[in-house]
Amino acid sequence: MLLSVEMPSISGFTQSLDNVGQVRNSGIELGLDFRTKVNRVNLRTNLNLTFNRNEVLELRGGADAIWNGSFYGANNVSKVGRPMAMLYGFKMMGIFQSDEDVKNWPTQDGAIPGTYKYFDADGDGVISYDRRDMIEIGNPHPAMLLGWTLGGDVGGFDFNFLFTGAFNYDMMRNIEATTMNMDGVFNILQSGVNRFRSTDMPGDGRGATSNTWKWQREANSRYVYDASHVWLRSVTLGYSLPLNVIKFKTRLFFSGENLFLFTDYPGTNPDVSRGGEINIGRDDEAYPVPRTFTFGATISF
Amino acid sequence: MRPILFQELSHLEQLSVFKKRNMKKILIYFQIFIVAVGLGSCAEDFLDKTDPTALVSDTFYGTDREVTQAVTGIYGMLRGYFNNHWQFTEFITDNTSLHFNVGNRGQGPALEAIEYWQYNAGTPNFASLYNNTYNILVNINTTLEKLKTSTASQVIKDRSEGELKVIRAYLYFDLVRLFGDVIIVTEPINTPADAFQLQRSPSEAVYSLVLADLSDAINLLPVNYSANEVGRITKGVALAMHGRVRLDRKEYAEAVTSLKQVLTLGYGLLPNYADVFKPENKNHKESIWDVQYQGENLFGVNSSFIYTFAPLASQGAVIKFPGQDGGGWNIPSKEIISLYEAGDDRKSVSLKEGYTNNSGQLVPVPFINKYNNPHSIRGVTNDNWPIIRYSDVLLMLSEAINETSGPTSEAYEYLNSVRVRATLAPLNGLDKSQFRIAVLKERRIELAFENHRWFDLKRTLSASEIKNLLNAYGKKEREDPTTSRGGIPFSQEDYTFEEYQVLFPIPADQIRINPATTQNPGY
Repeated sequence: MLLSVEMPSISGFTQSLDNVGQVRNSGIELGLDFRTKVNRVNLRTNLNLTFNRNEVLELRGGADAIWNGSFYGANNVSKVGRPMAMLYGFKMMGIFQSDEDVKNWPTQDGAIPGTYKYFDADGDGVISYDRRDMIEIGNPHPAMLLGWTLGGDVGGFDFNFLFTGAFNYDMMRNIEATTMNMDGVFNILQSGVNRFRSTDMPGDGRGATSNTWKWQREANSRYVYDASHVWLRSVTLGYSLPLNVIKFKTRLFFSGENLFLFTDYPGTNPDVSRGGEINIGRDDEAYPVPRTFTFGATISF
Repeated sequence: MRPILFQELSHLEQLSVFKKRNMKKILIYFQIFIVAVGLGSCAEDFLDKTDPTALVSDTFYGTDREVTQAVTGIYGMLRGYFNNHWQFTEFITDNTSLHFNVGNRGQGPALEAIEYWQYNAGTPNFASLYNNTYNILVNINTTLEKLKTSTASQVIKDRSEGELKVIRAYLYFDLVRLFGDVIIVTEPINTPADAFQLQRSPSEAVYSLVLADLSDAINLLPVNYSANEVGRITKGVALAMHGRVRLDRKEYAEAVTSLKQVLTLGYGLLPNYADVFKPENKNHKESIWDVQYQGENLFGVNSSFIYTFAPLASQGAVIKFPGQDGGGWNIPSKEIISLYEAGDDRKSVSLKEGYTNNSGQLVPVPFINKYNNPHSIRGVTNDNWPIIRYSDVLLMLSEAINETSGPTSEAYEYLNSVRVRATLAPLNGLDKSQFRIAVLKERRIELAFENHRWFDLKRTLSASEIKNLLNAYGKKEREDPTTSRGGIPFSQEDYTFEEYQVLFPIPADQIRINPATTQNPGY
């Protein structure tokens, strides 16, 4: 693993490029190819499934973990025995419903009813405003990747579908720390109307009170979503005109890209990642993926 | 079929055709090359080329011009250092508070943690301070190392060594007072592994390095510079710094010796306190060492302090650009405002107790006025940051003399010259401890918002005295905050100072990266 790793800042630098250790990627990849003919229809399909597990085997040097990202935003931590670049942050356990609720919880200084309630991971009775109580809150590596094409032709018509998908992985929707940011006067997402207003109007359990001024924008599991999805990436439909109709060999076609996305993920693109390398699984709402339609004709003179 | 043109081939095809056509030539060149290497005794140099278009540290530092450029670059790094220095030396104390930003919390809690003494080893501003300091130190060390073998003139080499050693001493003096024991680096670090070997040294060793660097610098530096080099570090800076360090260590006789030499170098008080902070007067005879900033252009070497210090939502009423707001940080506390004596010239120069907004109403949010000067480009101010002023030297002298011999007429003379300039009546008839208190208060007012307060508290009070003083101030702020908090209550732990907090934490990241690094007690 050749990565930039942290070094003591007394050297004048905070990172250096080094061979830091070993990672094992193990898994299986299945490819199924199938062709058949049903009546006059020729069908072709190809299914590709990838299952991969990665595990950090060894980290050299004094550090027992490689950290990327920041306290506010997406934290990634790579530790021996765990997959690389796990999402890291406070575990959000809900929203404080009342003063009573705040009092009965480990000390979270500055919390009021309506603030996010964090998990006291180190069990010292205090949720401190630093990384001490942060834990793994998500795995940015899909358990399974899918690629599926389905194509065929009948008479002069032909068609081709391409699906891609990824399953069981997490994405830190960092953008919501801004677009669901209640600690001031901003434009926010519409779901902000379901924020906590009072003990009697607790909202949807995901929007903090607009009176909060701390415990909101820190990396926490509130912003982590399952990003499993299947995407209909492309569809092509074509028709080749019979040669007895027209003198030239002609094929008319229609194709569409990124037609349908099947997912519960709230963002526009569950397949993004900012940061790269080992700072992955972070969605800052990149430019949306366009849906494109193409009509065309291929004519050979 | 027409022949295919070379240009029509793919890149790979072109390559193979080229090889075929030119193989003979390539072979010949290769043979010539072998012969050349075989013949020349300079064969190794022949292969050892540096990129002529890049500046490389191995070959730089050869001429006067290059050495001066390197040192000037380090001066430039001080701008970044001082842009945030107020957080750790002024904001943290009873001199200033903050304008609570209800409308946009942003990453405010990390900086508010310093004002409310809620900081811990994870507070990011300490990590920036620590990393930034060592980043400058590494540049200093590299340049000092290169000076040893540089072919530049002796005059420039001596002067540069003096300048760099004063800056190094300044940074270590800050480090040791803020963090206590720290890692000493005085030579270039060549591999990451070396950086893991270094451990914190006792603060005594840090002080020894600081004093040794300053002693060297006193002998190496000129008393002044030609007009186009004004602003560089002089012998006066080294002497005043030496006095400051000695005073901090309560070595009063040594402090007096160094500080008195500064008196002979031609410095003096400006007649009018307001003139001290006007950018058009910068590097005047009262200024011993300023961080040099330059505005009125877009070279990126400007300051912008008022943009941090002006009240929130002041909408151009403080910073004279349409709609311009301030950051609302480092707001003068009610306590310091109440300390100015009637008729003190300095009050209206140093701070304003409020401003008139665009609707003509008075908004009672105070702000620091020392760095609030007219400028023509939005965001680009021309204010220097004073590190050592002559009035600071006079007050240090009166403090040191009082500690050695009591309030002598000489001690009064220095203290009163500062007071008289501020149009206040001279003091007299104080006993030693009253005089000590008077000097401290004079420093608080004269040098307000110039990043002295935290160090003055630490120099003159014990940890438990600091705790009591700050908690008393904190109690007042909780009951009657300097600025409105828009209905948001204080956290339970806000404004609770513990003794261990007189030393900042070693940043948690540094201990995580190198677990052999120790932490200060309490964190």
